[in-house]
Parts: sequence; C-alpha cells; structure tokens
Amino acid sequence: MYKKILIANRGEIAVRIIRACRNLGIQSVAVYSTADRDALHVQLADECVCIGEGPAKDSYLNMDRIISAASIVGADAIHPGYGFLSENSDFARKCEEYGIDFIGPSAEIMERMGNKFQARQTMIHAGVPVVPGSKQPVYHAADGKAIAKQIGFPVMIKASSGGGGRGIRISESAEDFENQFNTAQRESVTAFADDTMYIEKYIEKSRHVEVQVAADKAGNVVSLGERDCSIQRNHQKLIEESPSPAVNAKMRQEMNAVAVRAAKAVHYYSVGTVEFIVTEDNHFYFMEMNTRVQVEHAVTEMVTGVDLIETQITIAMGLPLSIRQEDIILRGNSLECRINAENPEKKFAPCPGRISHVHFPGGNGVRVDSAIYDGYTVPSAYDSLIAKVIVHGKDRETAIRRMCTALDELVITGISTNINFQYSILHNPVFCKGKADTGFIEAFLEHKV
Amino acid sequence: MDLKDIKEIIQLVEKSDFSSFSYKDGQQEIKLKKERQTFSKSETPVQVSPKAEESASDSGFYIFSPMVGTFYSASSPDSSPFVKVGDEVKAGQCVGVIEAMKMMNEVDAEENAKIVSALVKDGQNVEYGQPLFQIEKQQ
Repeated sequence: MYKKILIANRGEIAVRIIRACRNLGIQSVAVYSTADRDALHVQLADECVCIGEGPAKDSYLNMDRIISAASIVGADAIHPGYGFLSENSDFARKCEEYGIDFIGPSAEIMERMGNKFQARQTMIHAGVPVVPGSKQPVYHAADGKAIAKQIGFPVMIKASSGGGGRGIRISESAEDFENQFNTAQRESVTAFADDTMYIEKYIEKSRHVEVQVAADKAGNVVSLGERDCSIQRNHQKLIEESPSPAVNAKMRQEMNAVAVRAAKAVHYYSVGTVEFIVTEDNHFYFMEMNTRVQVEHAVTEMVTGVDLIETQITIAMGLPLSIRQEDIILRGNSLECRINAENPEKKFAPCPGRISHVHFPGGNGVRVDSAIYDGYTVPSAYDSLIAKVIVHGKDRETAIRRMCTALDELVITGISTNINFQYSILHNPVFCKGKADTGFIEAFLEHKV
Repeated sequence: MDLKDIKEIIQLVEKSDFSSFSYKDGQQEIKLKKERQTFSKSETPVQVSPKAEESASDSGFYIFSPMVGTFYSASSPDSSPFVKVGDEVKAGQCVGVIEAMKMMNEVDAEENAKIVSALVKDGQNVEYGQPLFQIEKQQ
C-alpha cells in the first residue's frame, strides 16, 4: 500500500489524481512551477514542493527536480499523468534507479510501444491487423517512394519516434513524395532526434477509434470498450465519445479482443489505450498504443463505472485487477467536450489570462474535470485545456442534449474559450447522425458540412 | 449642543480609529484629539519564521535555493559551516550545499554580500526558490 504519491503534472489531471489518492487514503504531493503558485492542484494536495521556473523544461519536464522532490518528501510512487514525462522511458528508469515506483508500464514496454515502427512489427507478429505499410524502416526518400508506389497513393509518411501529430505528412502522389518525406524527416530529427521513418497507406474518411485496456502485473488484461475521437483539429482531439457510433456489436467484440491481444503481446500492465483506424467499410487497423492514462479517460469511466485512475494506482501497487471482463458492460452513452482557453475566431490562438468568473454546470449525468476558479490566471507556459465537460445519458441523443444544456450553463468570463465552437459542433447534423470522421472539423471550418 | 451630546461624541470618537475630530455649529465648536498609544517595551516580540512569499515581498535581499533537495550548511557533519551570520561573502563564494539525486551541489553567492541571517537549518529539505539566507548587498 502506498502511503504517499507525488503527482508529476499540473492542471485538471493533477486534480483528478489527487482526488483518486484521497479516495484511496493515500497522501498526495503536488509539484509546481513558479508560474503555478496559485494553481488548484497545489492548494488541494496534502503537501507541495516548488520545483522551478515556469518553462516546462525547468519544472514539469525536469526529471532530476521531480525525483529530488519525491525523495525529500518520501513519496512511494510518482504518477506522471498525461503528456510531460508520462511516456518518457528515461524517466521511468530513473524512478526505478531511485527506488520510487513509476505509476505506468515499465521502461521496456514503453520503449517497445513508443517506437511506432517496432510496435507495428510486434502487432503484425501477434496477428493484429495493421494499416498496410512499409515492412522496413525508411531512411531515404527514394526508398520511401518505391514503397509508396507499391502500397498505392495516397500515403502517410510517419516518424517512428513520433507523437503529438509531429513528423507526419501526407503524400498524394509520386510527384510530391520527396518533398513531403524530407520535411517530415527533418521535423522528426528536430522534435525526436531520430530520422527513422515509415510509410502507411493513407485511408481517407476514417474514424479514430481507440480501446481502453487495463492490465495487472500478473498478466490479467481487460478491455473497457472503445472511444470515438474522430472530432480533431490538427490532430488535437476536441470531442470524444463512448461507445462509437461507427462500431457495431460484432466489430466491438473483435476490437476488444484484438486490443487485449495487443496488450498481452508486449506483456503490458497498467492502463493503456490501443488506437485503431476504422474505415468506411467497417475494417479496423492498429495504429499505435498509448502507454499512459489519457485526457478522455473520463468518458470510459462514465459508461463502465470503473475508476481508471484508482485502478491504475492499485495495479502499480501490485494488486490484481478487481474487475473481470464479464463484469464490464458499456451502459448508455458518454460525451466529453474539451474546453480550451483559445479564440476560434482568431485561428484558435491561445488565450491565457485572468478568468474573472466561472460557473460550472451540474446535475444528473454531468461531470466537470477542471482546475480553474474565479480569479485564476491561466498561464501562457502550458497547453490551453482548462476544463473537460463530460456527460452521460441512456442513449446518444440524451447525451448530446445533456451536453448542450451543460455548455449553455457553463460560464467562463475574462478570457476567450471554445465553448461556442463546441456548441455549434453539437448542433451539426453530420455529428448528430454519428457520421463525423477525422475529416469532419476541417470540412466544418470550411462550411462544407 | 448639550453635555449629553458631547459625551456621546467623545464615546464615538474613542471607539473609532479617528485620531482627531472637529465639529462646528454656529457659535459652538468642539475639537477632540486622541493621544497615540505606545506599547510597553517589556512585551517580548513573537518570532515567526517567514513564509517564502512573505519574505520575498520584504525589501530585503536573499539567496534563494536553485534546486529541490536537502540543504547542508557545512561540507560534512564535522566541518565548520561555510558561512556564519555577519560574514562577508564574495560573488561565487560557496555558502552551502544542496544534496539532490545523491549529488552534492554548491550554492554560491551571486554577488558580494553580508550574511544577515540564516533562514534554513542544516539538513532541512528545501524547495526551488526557497530563501536560504537574508543578505545585505555590498560593493
């Protein structure tokens, strides 16, 4: 049993983790940068330690300072949240070196799945369907072009060490392939210090559907159903929902089984998400696996009733999974809208600043995960997510209606937010019919849907 | 104005924070002035260890911790401390060490200064930005 957990994160996820610690009777320790002195997670935690100046590299990305903080407070474990160091295998290794548990999979598992090309190969060997693509890593444009011709255009050129939508380019034909390849590769070298690329068939009109898994250290793996995250702008998710309107019962059964197989293939433990592309003709292909808890985990919590953060902590403590696959049923529908401090009318420019007034919605089937409050100043040093509004309803229509009511009631004054933009998506007929694919937002912004 | 009114005015002014009060009504005028109270010097002042934010808002100068770890005032338990209150230190001079990640890191004075007070004890855990010493800047 852990006595104390240090949360190596900030914002709404840090608050979420602190609440889970409280529920489990575990002391929580917040770390914060000087830019986050007034942050909610600092006020809520049992202890807090200032670790550096605002920029992430001096604070939330600074491994030494975080581990030092964990040492001086005597933390048993570190929860990395999402983003920051959550998928950094060097950090997971350092934690191990200093005798502190890392709440997540081992460094080895992280590396296996973090290398996107290797992950593909592992899945192929495990009999998991993958998007048709290169059988070898690609380092030169000429080789890539030959492979692309074999696969058939259009293709996606991807960085093997990629993430966050970087190092990805689409090539429509042989003519623009070299340019796109070189650009993507340069981006990969800059962002990830790796020039390893691979090629995949680009499937237009696809849906991004991911499956939540949880596994204990004894090898038990369960699947907690899928989430549809097709509503994205520049590869950043805006709205997520469970179950996916694009997945029928047969597909669900198969996707859940494949996700479990993928997790077992790498001896996975902790919580994780297996991402798939689902095509118009109901085929699904493995894309990648995220070895951390995700922003949209709340949607799965609403439909399954399983607390994913508490589960993640108990797995880390070495306890067996208390949930069995047969106990997991997806009930009703859940939707999440990410509320960002940005101005949709100014090309979604980030909008940090002082929030003068906040009013959150509530009531039956409404949940808000946030770290903002009256008078809080959103710092400019971090991402723009300031709140998650999550609803649950007995069916998709009820959930959408509840979300509209909730967004109507939600008030955040003092800064620009995307609340109205989210509201307009919820009223769009394509979205309401459950037909929005990954091209939806772009078409929506161009008034084509 | 009669005596009763004057008594009431006196009582009101006494209770208030006003130090002076004047009122004129035709030929009648009343002026009141409160003498400032002085506290007895025999009261012992209460020592309060300053919070990080409060200290930083004083007009004093400080040496702040550049990292998270355990502060030590001497290089080993048997050695004498790097600095004492009243010492004059030069820029770059070591005033203490902070242990972080099993490594000892020197904390150096950034400018010529005189140590006014030590704000942390030997072996105390410190966070980033925590004031370690109050100093007086020197040429």
